[in-house]
Amino acid sequence: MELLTQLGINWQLLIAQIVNFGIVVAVLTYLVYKPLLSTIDARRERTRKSVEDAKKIESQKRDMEVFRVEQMKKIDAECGAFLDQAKKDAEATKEQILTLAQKEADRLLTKGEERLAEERSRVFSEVQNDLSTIIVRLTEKILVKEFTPEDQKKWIGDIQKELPSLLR
Amino acid sequence: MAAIEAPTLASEVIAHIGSFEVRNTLLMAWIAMAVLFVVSFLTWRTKYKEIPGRFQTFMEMIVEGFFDFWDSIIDDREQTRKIYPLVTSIFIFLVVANWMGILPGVGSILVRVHTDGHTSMIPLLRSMNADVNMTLAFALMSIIATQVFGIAALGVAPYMGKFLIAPWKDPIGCFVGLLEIVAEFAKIISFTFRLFGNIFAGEVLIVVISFLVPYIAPIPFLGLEIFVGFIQALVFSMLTAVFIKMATMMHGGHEEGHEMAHA
Repeated sequence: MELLTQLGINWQLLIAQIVNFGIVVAVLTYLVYKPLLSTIDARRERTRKSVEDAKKIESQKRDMEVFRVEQMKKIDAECGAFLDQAKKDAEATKEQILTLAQKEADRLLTKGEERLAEERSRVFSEVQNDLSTIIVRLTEKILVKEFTPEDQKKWIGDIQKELPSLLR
Repeated sequence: MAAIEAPTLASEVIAHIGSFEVRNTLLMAWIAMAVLFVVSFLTWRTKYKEIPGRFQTFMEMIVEGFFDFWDSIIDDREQTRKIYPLVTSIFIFLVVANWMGILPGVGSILVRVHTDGHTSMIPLLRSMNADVNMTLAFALMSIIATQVFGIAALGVAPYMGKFLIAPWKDPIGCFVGLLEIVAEFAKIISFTFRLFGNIFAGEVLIVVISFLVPYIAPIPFLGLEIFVGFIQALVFSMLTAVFIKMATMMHGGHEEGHEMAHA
Protein backbone atom coordinates (compact mmCIF):
# COMPACT_ATOMS: atom_id res chain seq x y z
CA MET A 1 0.00 0.00 0.00
CA GLU A 2 2.90 2.30 0.78
CA LEU A 3 4.24 1.74 -2.74
CA LEU A 4 0.85 2.61 -4.19
CA THR A 5 0.82 5.81 -2.11
CA GLN A 6 4.35 6.68 -3.21
CA LEU A 7 3.42 6.13 -6.82
CA GLY A 8 0.38 8.35 -6.30
CA ILE A 9 -2.20 5.69 -7.22
CA ASN A 10 -5.56 7.33 -6.95
CA TRP A 11 -8.69 5.39 -7.90
CA GLN A 12 -10.58 8.54 -8.79
CA LEU A 13 -7.85 9.56 -11.21
CA LEU A 14 -7.70 6.04 -12.60
CA ILE A 15 -11.42 6.03 -13.29
CA ALA A 16 -11.24 9.58 -14.69
CA GLN A 17 -8.53 8.49 -17.11
CA ILE A 18 -10.54 5.43 -18.16
CA VAL A 19 -13.52 7.73 -18.80
CA ASN A 20 -11.25 10.14 -20.71
CA PHE A 21 -9.99 7.33 -22.89
CA GLY A 22 -13.53 6.08 -23.44
CA ILE A 23 -14.56 9.55 -24.62
CA VAL A 24 -11.52 9.75 -26.94
CA VAL A 25 -12.35 6.35 -28.45
CA ALA A 26 -16.00 7.33 -28.93
CA VAL A 27 -15.22 10.71 -30.51
CA LEU A 28 -12.49 9.38 -32.77
CA THR A 29 -14.66 6.41 -33.78
CA TYR A 30 -17.71 8.46 -34.69
CA LEU A 31 -15.94 11.46 -36.22
CA VAL A 32 -12.87 9.92 -37.80
CA TYR A 33 -12.53 6.14 -38.00
CA LYS A 34 -16.01 5.02 -39.01
CA PRO A 35 -16.79 7.67 -41.63
CA LEU A 36 -13.31 7.65 -43.13
CA LEU A 37 -13.11 3.86 -43.26
CA SER A 38 -16.60 3.79 -44.83
CA THR A 39 -15.53 6.42 -47.37
CA ILE A 40 -12.35 4.47 -48.14
CA ASP A 41 -14.29 1.19 -48.41
CA ALA A 42 -16.93 2.80 -50.64
CA ARG A 43 -14.23 4.31 -52.83
CA ARG A 44 -12.37 0.99 -52.96
CA GLU A 45 -15.61 -0.77 -53.89
CA ARG A 46 -16.30 1.80 -56.61
CA THR A 47 -12.74 1.49 -57.89
CA ARG A 48 -13.06 -2.30 -57.92
CA LYS A 49 -16.37 -2.01 -59.76
CA SER A 50 -14.90 0.51 -62.20
CA VAL A 51 -11.96 -1.78 -62.89
CA GLU A 52 -14.36 -4.70 -63.39
CA ASP A 53 -16.53 -2.55 -65.66
CA ALA A 54 -13.47 -1.42 -67.57
CA LYS A 55 -12.41 -5.05 -68.01
CA LYS A 56 -15.95 -5.97 -69.07
CA ILE A 57 -16.03 -3.06 -71.53
CA GLU A 58 -12.60 -4.05 -72.81
CA SER A 59 -13.81 -7.61 -73.30
CA GLN A 60 -16.99 -6.38 -75.00
CA LYS A 61 -14.89 -4.11 -77.19
CA ARG A 62 -12.75 -7.06 -78.22
CA ASP A 63 -15.88 -9.12 -78.93
CA MET A 64 -17.34 -6.23 -80.89
CA GLU A 65 -14.12 -5.89 -82.86
CA VAL A 66 -14.18 -9.60 -83.68
CA PHE A 67 -17.87 -9.33 -84.60
CA ARG A 68 -17.19 -6.23 -86.70
CA VAL A 69 -14.35 -7.92 -88.57
CA GLU A 70 -16.55 -10.99 -89.16
CA GLN A 71 -19.42 -8.81 -90.30
CA MET A 72 -17.12 -6.84 -92.58
CA LYS A 73 -15.84 -10.07 -94.09
CA LYS A 74 -19.42 -11.30 -94.49
CA ILE A 75 -20.51 -7.98 -96.01
CA ASP A 76 -17.48 -8.00 -98.31
CA ALA A 77 -18.36 -11.51 -99.42
CA GLU A 78 -22.04 -10.59 -99.87
CA CYS A 79 -21.11 -7.39 -101.73
CA GLY A 80 -18.76 -9.33 -104.00
CA ALA A 81 -21.48 -11.84 -104.77
CA PHE A 82 -24.02 -9.08 -105.23
CA LEU A 83 -21.65 -7.19 -107.54
CA ASP A 84 -20.98 -10.31 -109.58
CA GLN A 85 -24.70 -10.97 -109.84
CA ALA A 86 -25.31 -7.33 -110.79
CA LYS A 87 -22.64 -7.55 -113.49
CA LYS A 88 -24.19 -10.75 -114.81
CA ASP A 89 -27.67 -9.19 -114.72
CA ALA A 90 -26.39 -6.05 -116.39
CA GLU A 91 -24.68 -8.14 -119.08
CA ALA A 92 -27.85 -10.15 -119.66
CA THR A 93 -29.96 -6.98 -119.75
CA LYS A 94 -27.50 -5.42 -122.16
CA GLU A 95 -27.68 -8.49 -124.41
CA GLN A 96 -31.45 -8.42 -124.22
CA ILE A 97 -31.62 -4.73 -125.03
CA LEU A 98 -29.17 -5.11 -127.89
CA THR A 99 -31.16 -8.02 -129.31
CA LEU A 100 -34.38 -6.07 -129.05
CA ALA A 101 -32.73 -3.01 -130.61
CA GLN A 102 -31.31 -5.14 -133.41
CA LYS A 103 -34.76 -6.66 -134.02
CA GLU A 104 -36.37 -3.24 -134.00
CA ALA A 105 -33.73 -1.86 -136.31
CA ASP A 106 -34.23 -4.83 -138.66
CA ARG A 107 -37.96 -4.38 -138.52
CA LEU A 108 -37.65 -0.64 -139.25
CA LEU A 109 -35.20 -1.34 -142.08
CA THR A 110 -37.47 -3.89 -143.61
CA LYS A 111 -40.41 -1.58 -143.26
CA GLY A 112 -38.39 1.30 -144.74
CA GLU A 113 -37.31 -0.83 -147.64
CA GLU A 114 -40.86 -1.92 -148.26
CA ARG A 115 -42.08 1.65 -148.09
CA LEU A 116 -39.23 2.74 -150.38
CA ALA A 117 -40.15 0.05 -152.90
CA GLU A 118 -43.78 1.04 -152.75
CA GLU A 119 -42.85 4.70 -153.16
CA ARG A 120 -40.55 3.92 -156.05
CA SER A 121 -43.22 1.87 -157.70
CA ARG A 122 -45.77 4.59 -157.16
CA VAL A 123 -43.42 7.33 -158.40
CA PHE A 124 -42.45 5.16 -161.37
CA SER A 125 -46.07 4.64 -162.23
CA GLU A 126 -46.83 8.35 -161.88
CA VAL A 127 -43.78 9.33 -163.94
CA GLN A 128 -44.85 6.77 -166.56
CA ASN A 129 -48.31 8.24 -166.75
CA ASP A 130 -47.05 11.82 -166.79
CA LEU A 131 -44.49 10.98 -169.45
CA SER A 132 -47.12 9.27 -171.58
CA THR A 133 -49.35 12.29 -171.28
CA ILE A 134 -46.47 14.66 -172.18
CA ILE A 135 -45.41 12.58 -175.17
CA VAL A 136 -48.97 12.32 -176.42
CA ARG A 137 -49.46 16.05 -176.19
CA LEU A 138 -46.13 16.75 -177.75
CA THR A 139 -46.90 14.37 -180.53
CA GLU A 140 -50.29 15.94 -180.95
CA LYS A 141 -48.76 19.34 -181.35
CA ILE A 142 -46.23 18.08 -183.88
CA LEU A 143 -48.76 16.07 -185.79
CA VAL A 144 -51.30 18.84 -185.94
CA LYS A 145 -49.02 20.71 -188.25
CA GLU A 146 -47.86 17.86 -190.49
CA PHE A 147 -50.42 14.98 -190.34
CA THR A 148 -54.06 14.74 -191.24
CA PRO A 149 -56.49 14.05 -188.45
CA GLU A 150 -56.83 10.43 -189.61
CA ASP A 151 -53.05 9.90 -189.67
CA GLN A 152 -52.81 11.49 -186.33
CA LYS A 153 -55.34 9.18 -184.85
CA LYS A 154 -53.67 6.15 -186.32
CA TRP A 155 -50.15 7.19 -185.31
CA ILE A 156 -51.23 8.15 -181.79
CA GLY A 157 -52.98 4.87 -181.48
CA ASP A 158 -49.81 3.01 -182.54
CA ILE A 159 -47.63 4.99 -180.20
CA GLN A 160 -50.00 4.42 -177.34
CA LYS A 161 -49.83 0.75 -177.99
CA GLU A 162 -46.05 0.67 -178.17
CA LEU A 163 -45.24 3.22 -175.47
CA PRO A 164 -45.50 0.97 -172.45
CA SER A 165 -43.08 -1.48 -173.94
CA LEU A 166 -40.71 1.33 -174.89
CA LEU A 167 -40.75 2.76 -171.42
CA ARG A 168 -39.77 -0.44 -169.70
CA MET B 1 24.91 25.48 -5.74
CA ALA B 2 21.26 24.95 -6.59
CA ALA B 3 19.92 21.40 -6.28
CA ILE B 4 18.25 19.54 -9.10
CA GLU B 5 14.49 19.54 -8.64
CA ALA B 6 13.69 16.15 -10.12
CA PRO B 7 10.04 15.31 -10.73
CA THR B 8 8.36 13.28 -8.02
CA LEU B 9 7.04 9.78 -8.73
CA ALA B 10 3.50 10.85 -7.98
CA SER B 11 1.81 13.59 -9.98
CA GLU B 12 0.92 16.81 -8.19
CA VAL B 13 -2.53 18.06 -7.27
CA ILE B 14 -3.13 21.49 -8.76
CA ALA B 15 -6.79 21.94 -7.88
CA HIS B 16 -9.85 20.24 -6.41
CA ILE B 17 -13.32 19.85 -7.87
CA GLY B 18 -15.24 18.85 -4.76
CA SER B 19 -13.30 15.88 -3.45
CA PHE B 20 -11.90 15.12 -6.86
CA GLU B 21 -8.22 15.94 -7.22
CA VAL B 22 -7.25 17.61 -10.45
CA ARG B 23 -3.64 16.65 -11.08
CA ASN B 24 -1.24 18.20 -13.55
CA THR B 25 -1.13 14.96 -15.56
CA LEU B 26 -4.92 14.93 -15.81
CA LEU B 27 -4.87 18.51 -17.08
CA MET B 28 -2.34 17.37 -19.67
CA ALA B 29 -4.68 14.51 -20.62
CA TRP B 30 -7.52 16.99 -21.10
CA ILE B 31 -5.33 19.19 -23.31
CA ALA B 32 -4.31 16.15 -25.37
CA MET B 33 -7.99 15.21 -25.64
CA ALA B 34 -8.81 18.76 -26.76
CA VAL B 35 -6.17 18.51 -29.51
CA LEU B 36 -7.63 15.20 -30.66
CA PHE B 37 -11.17 16.63 -30.59
CA VAL B 38 -10.10 19.63 -32.69
CA VAL B 39 -8.49 17.32 -35.26
CA SER B 40 -11.62 15.10 -35.21
CA PHE B 41 -13.83 18.15 -35.69
CA LEU B 42 -11.69 19.36 -38.60
CA THR B 43 -11.97 15.89 -40.13
CA TRP B 44 -15.73 15.91 -39.64
CA ARG B 45 -15.89 19.32 -41.35
CA THR B 46 -14.41 17.83 -44.53
CA LYS B 47 -17.79 16.02 -44.94
CA TYR B 48 -15.85 12.94 -46.02
CA LYS B 49 -16.06 13.95 -49.67
CA GLU B 50 -15.81 11.49 -52.51
CA ILE B 51 -12.99 13.56 -54.00
CA PRO B 52 -11.00 14.46 -50.88
CA GLY B 53 -9.11 17.65 -50.17
CA ARG B 54 -5.57 17.74 -48.81
CA PHE B 55 -6.54 17.43 -45.15
CA GLN B 56 -9.02 14.62 -45.78
CA THR B 57 -6.41 12.81 -47.91
CA PHE B 58 -3.91 13.16 -45.07
CA MET B 59 -6.41 11.81 -42.53
CA GLU B 60 -7.44 8.98 -44.85
CA MET B 61 -3.79 8.08 -45.30
CA ILE B 62 -3.34 7.84 -41.52
CA VAL B 63 -6.57 5.94 -40.92
CA GLU B 64 -5.96 3.49 -43.77
CA GLY B 65 -2.29 3.15 -42.86
CA PHE B 66 -3.24 2.12 -39.32
CA PHE B 67 -5.87 -0.27 -40.63
CA ASP B 68 -3.37 -2.02 -42.89
CA PHE B 69 -0.82 -2.10 -40.08
CA TRP B 70 -3.21 -3.70 -37.57
CA ASP B 71 -4.48 -6.04 -40.24
CA SER B 72 -0.93 -7.23 -40.88
CA ILE B 73 -0.86 -8.30 -37.20
CA ILE B 74 -4.41 -9.62 -36.84
CA ASP B 75 -4.60 -11.10 -40.35
CA ASP B 76 -8.39 -11.01 -40.34
CA ARG B 77 -10.13 -7.92 -41.74
CA GLU B 78 -13.33 -8.42 -39.73
CA GLN B 79 -11.42 -8.82 -36.47
CA THR B 80 -9.21 -5.85 -37.37
CA ARG B 81 -12.31 -3.75 -37.94
CA LYS B 82 -13.50 -4.63 -34.40
CA ILE B 83 -10.25 -3.85 -32.58
CA TYR B 84 -9.31 -0.88 -34.79
CA PRO B 85 -10.89 1.92 -32.68
CA LEU B 86 -9.30 0.63 -29.47
CA VAL B 87 -5.73 0.07 -30.62
CA THR B 88 -5.61 3.13 -32.88
CA SER B 89 -6.97 5.36 -30.13
CA ILE B 90 -4.42 3.96 -27.69
CA PHE B 91 -1.62 4.78 -30.10
CA ILE B 92 -2.90 8.24 -31.03
CA PHE B 93 -3.76 9.28 -27.48
CA LEU B 94 -0.40 8.06 -26.15
CA VAL B 95 1.72 9.55 -28.91
CA VAL B 96 -0.02 12.95 -28.73
CA ALA B 97 0.30 13.00 -24.94
CA ASN B 98 3.94 11.87 -25.05
CA TRP B 99 4.93 14.49 -27.62
CA MET B 100 3.03 17.21 -25.80
CA GLY B 101 5.10 16.33 -22.74
CA ILE B 102 8.19 17.85 -24.32
CA LEU B 103 6.56 21.12 -25.39
CA PRO B 104 7.96 24.28 -23.81
CA GLY B 105 6.09 25.15 -20.64
CA VAL B 106 5.41 21.57 -19.59
CA GLY B 107 7.13 21.17 -16.26
CA SER B 108 8.44 24.73 -16.30
CA ILE B 109 5.23 26.72 -15.71
CA LEU B 110 4.76 26.59 -11.97
CA VAL B 111 1.71 27.30 -9.84
CA ARG B 112 1.57 28.09 -6.16
CA VAL B 113 -0.43 25.61 -4.09
CA HIS B 114 -1.20 25.51 -0.39
CA THR B 115 -1.10 22.08 1.19
CA ASP B 116 -1.07 21.18 4.86
CA GLY B 117 -0.43 24.76 5.88
CA HIS B 118 2.60 25.38 3.70
CA THR B 119 2.94 26.82 0.18
CA SER B 120 4.82 25.07 -2.61
CA MET B 121 5.46 25.64 -6.31
CA ILE B 122 4.46 22.76 -8.54
CA PRO B 123 4.37 22.36 -12.33
CA LEU B 124 1.04 23.24 -13.89
CA LEU B 125 1.53 20.66 -16.63
CA ARG B 126 3.27 17.33 -16.58
CA SER B 127 3.57 14.64 -19.24
CA MET B 128 0.44 12.50 -19.02
CA ASN B 129 2.26 9.20 -18.95
CA ALA B 130 4.66 10.30 -16.23
CA ASP B 131 1.83 9.29 -13.90
CA VAL B 132 1.22 5.64 -13.00
CA ASN B 133 -2.53 6.25 -12.77
CA MET B 134 -2.66 7.09 -16.45
CA THR B 135 -0.53 4.20 -17.66
CA LEU B 136 -2.35 1.81 -15.30
CA ALA B 137 -5.67 2.99 -16.76
CA PHE B 138 -4.42 2.20 -20.27
CA ALA B 139 -3.04 -1.15 -19.16
CA LEU B 140 -6.30 -2.13 -17.46
CA MET B 141 -8.33 -1.17 -20.54
CA SER B 142 -5.97 -3.06 -22.80
CA ILE B 143 -6.09 -6.25 -20.75
CA ILE B 144 -9.85 -6.07 -20.08
CA ALA B 145 -10.44 -5.50 -23.82
CA THR B 146 -8.22 -8.50 -24.56
CA GLN B 147 -10.38 -10.72 -22.34
CA VAL B 148 -13.60 -9.32 -23.86
CA PHE B 149 -12.42 -9.90 -27.42
CA GLY B 150 -11.18 -13.38 -26.48
CA ILE B 151 -14.53 -14.33 -24.95
CA ALA B 152 -16.43 -12.78 -27.88
CA ALA B 153 -14.37 -14.74 -30.38
CA LEU B 154 -14.19 -18.13 -28.64
CA GLY B 155 -17.08 -18.13 -26.16
CA VAL B 156 -16.87 -18.06 -22.35
CA ALA B 157 -16.15 -21.74 -21.69
CA PRO B 158 -13.49 -22.29 -24.40
CA TYR B 159 -11.77 -19.05 -23.46
CA MET B 160 -11.78 -19.75 -19.72
CA GLY B 161 -10.58 -23.26 -20.51
CA LYS B 162 -7.22 -21.69 -21.24
CA PHE B 163 -6.93 -20.65 -17.57
CA LEU B 164 -8.97 -23.21 -15.67
CA ILE B 165 -8.02 -26.80 -16.34
CA ALA B 166 -8.98 -29.60 -13.95
CA PRO B 167 -5.79 -30.96 -12.24
CA TRP B 168 -7.02 -34.56 -12.36
CA LYS B 169 -7.38 -34.33 -16.12
CA ASP B 170 -4.20 -32.50 -16.98
CA PRO B 171 -1.96 -31.52 -14.04
CA ILE B 172 0.57 -29.77 -16.25
CA GLY B 173 -2.20 -27.96 -18.10
CA CYS B 174 -3.65 -26.87 -14.75
CA PHE B 175 -0.29 -25.41 -13.75
CA VAL B 176 0.08 -23.71 -17.14
CA GLY B 177 -3.43 -22.29 -16.70
CA LEU B 178 -2.41 -20.77 -13.37
CA LEU B 179 0.65 -19.30 -15.04
CA GLU B 180 -1.61 -17.85 -17.72
CA ILE B 181 -3.65 -16.11 -15.02
CA VAL B 182 -0.47 -14.75 -13.46
CA ALA B 183 0.68 -13.70 -16.96
CA GLU B 184 -2.47 -11.63 -17.44
CA PHE B 185 -1.70 -9.67 -14.26
CA ALA B 186 1.96 -9.50 -15.24
CA LYS B 187 0.87 -7.92 -18.52
CA ILE B 188 -0.90 -5.16 -16.60
CA ILE B 189 2.20 -4.46 -14.54
CA SER B 190 4.46 -4.71 -17.58
CA PHE B 191 2.28 -2.34 -19.63
CA THR B 192 2.00 0.13 -16.75
CA PHE B 193 5.61 0.37 -15.77
CA ARG B 194 7.15 0.13 -19.24
CA LEU B 195 5.31 3.23 -20.40
CA PHE B 196 5.54 5.04 -17.08
CA GLY B 197 9.25 4.19 -16.69
CA ASN B 198 10.19 5.38 -20.17
CA ILE B 199 8.29 8.67 -20.02
CA PHE B 200 9.21 9.42 -16.42
CA ALA B 201 12.86 8.59 -17.12
CA GLY B 202 12.72 10.90 -20.13
CA GLU B 203 11.40 13.71 -17.96
CA VAL B 204 14.11 13.17 -15.38
CA LEU B 205 16.76 13.02 -18.09
CA ILE B 206 15.60 16.29 -19.62
CA VAL B 207 15.55 17.95 -16.19
CA VAL B 208 19.05 16.71 -15.36
CA ILE B 209 20.53 17.66 -18.75
CA SER B 210 18.81 21.07 -18.63
CA PHE B 211 20.27 21.60 -15.15
CA LEU B 212 23.78 20.63 -16.20
CA VAL B 213 23.87 22.34 -19.62
CA PRO B 214 20.82 24.60 -20.01
CA TYR B 215 21.36 25.52 -23.68
CA ILE B 216 21.78 23.39 -26.83
CA ALA B 217 22.66 20.18 -24.97
CA PRO B 218 19.03 19.17 -24.19
CA ILE B 219 18.07 19.38 -27.88
CA PRO B 220 19.31 15.87 -28.84
CA PHE B 221 17.56 14.50 -25.78
CA LEU B 222 14.33 16.22 -26.80
CA GLY B 223 14.70 14.46 -30.19
CA LEU B 224 15.26 11.21 -28.31
CA GLU B 225 12.11 11.83 -26.29
CA ILE B 226 10.11 12.32 -29.51
CA PHE B 227 11.43 8.96 -30.67
CA VAL B 228 10.80 7.27 -27.29
CA GLY B 229 7.29 8.75 -27.14
CA PHE B 230 6.49 7.30 -30.57
CA ILE B 231 8.06 3.92 -29.87
CA GLN B 232 6.33 3.52 -26.51
CA ALA B 233 2.94 4.37 -28.02
CA LEU B 234 3.61 1.92 -30.84
CA VAL B 235 4.76 -0.83 -28.45
CA PHE B 236 1.73 -0.35 -26.19
CA SER B 237 -0.80 -0.45 -29.04
CA MET B 238 0.98 -3.21 -30.94
CA LEU B 239 1.21 -5.42 -27.86
CA THR B 240 -2.50 -4.84 -27.26
CA ALA B 241 -3.16 -6.00 -30.83
CA VAL B 242 -0.89 -9.02 -30.37
CA PHE B 243 -2.55 -9.98 -27.06
CA ILE B 244 -5.97 -9.67 -28.66
CA LYS B 245 -4.79 -11.82 -31.58
CA MET B 246 -3.52 -14.42 -29.07
CA ALA B 247 -6.71 -14.28 -27.05
CA THR B 248 -8.89 -14.83 -30.11
CA MET B 249 -6.92 -17.88 -31.26
CA MET B 250 -7.69 -21.38 -30.08
CA HIS B 251 -5.38 -22.72 -27.36
CA GLY B 252 -3.02 -24.60 -29.63
CA GLY B 253 -1.90 -21.45 -31.39
CA HIS B 254 -1.01 -19.12 -28.56
CA GLU B 255 2.64 -20.12 -28.15
CA GLU B 256 3.43 -18.16 -31.29
CA GLY B 257 1.82 -15.07 -29.76
CA HIS B 258 3.89 -15.48 -26.62
CA GLU B 259 7.05 -15.40 -28.68
CA MET B 260 5.87 -12.24 -30.39
CA ALA B 261 4.97 -10.59 -27.08
CA HIS B 262 8.30 -11.41 -25.48
CA ALA B 263 10.33 -10.33 -28.48
